[in-house]
Amino acid sequence: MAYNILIVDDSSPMRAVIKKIVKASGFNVGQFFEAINGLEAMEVLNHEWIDLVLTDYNMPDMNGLELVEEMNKDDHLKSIPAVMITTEGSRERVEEFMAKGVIDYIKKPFTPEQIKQKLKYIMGETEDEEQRYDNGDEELDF
Amino acid sequence: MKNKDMITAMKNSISDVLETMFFLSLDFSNDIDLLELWNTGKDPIIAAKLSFSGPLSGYAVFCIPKKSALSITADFMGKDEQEISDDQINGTIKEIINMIIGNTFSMYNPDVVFNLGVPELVGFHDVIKDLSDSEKRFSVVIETLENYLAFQMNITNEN
Repeated sequence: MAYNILIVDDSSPMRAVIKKIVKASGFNVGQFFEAINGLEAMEVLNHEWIDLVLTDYNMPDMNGLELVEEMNKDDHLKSIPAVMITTEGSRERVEEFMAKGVIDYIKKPFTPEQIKQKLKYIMGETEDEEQRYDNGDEELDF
Repeated sequence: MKNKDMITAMKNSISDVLETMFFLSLDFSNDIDLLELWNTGKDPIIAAKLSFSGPLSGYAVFCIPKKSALSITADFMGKDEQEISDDQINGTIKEIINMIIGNTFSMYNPDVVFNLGVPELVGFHDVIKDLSDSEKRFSVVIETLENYLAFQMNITNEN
């Protein structure tokens, strides 16, 4: 199955790098969509079929958590897994992410292998719970 | 606030971010007058500023010569330097300070929440102070194979 992925980040280099890593990971992507904040992401979500949202937390206008809260107000959108890619690492913040419906988070800085393992786990392509938190020894050439 | 712990967290965070995501080999330098070096004006300096609040309030500044910023951005994005725009350079530098400061705080104390602002570009002469440390200011000079970079955290309030 090919997945449509929405990447939400106010940094265009970061969007490009995440896209490149996801492509290089061998993850089966149908189409990439991009947004620079939560508001723009909601526009995309309301007009396109999206299977997975990868969102930054700290963005102007509507941050990543506010985006997830907006998605949760909609019966269809709340079923789309949203992953937070963030520099935020405090336990309290991470607990807040999970309590508000974020399915998982990836801490910046990240390695390509960490993204690959997380995506495979989240989309059910691996049953291995340990891989969810594996830093990955395997080199990913991208 | 434990000053030594903060400096250690800053250095570990800088190494983590710049080595993991930007493929830089780096060291920390104490014996160079960076402000004097940069005052020659040979290579413009890009400075990004990020405010934060929480148990500590203040702002951080990251400074980098434009030539190094171009090289880092090209490596980060996997493109040739000729293909890189100023917007992409600026976006990358803002991302670097965002990652360094977020990572610094989670290394310093993962049990408390710091709120980060949105990174902005500023004139480095307007924001960077003397690069020596004080009670309320922590400075790190970073030496890469190509150049020197600087990171400074200024604490304006401790709650």
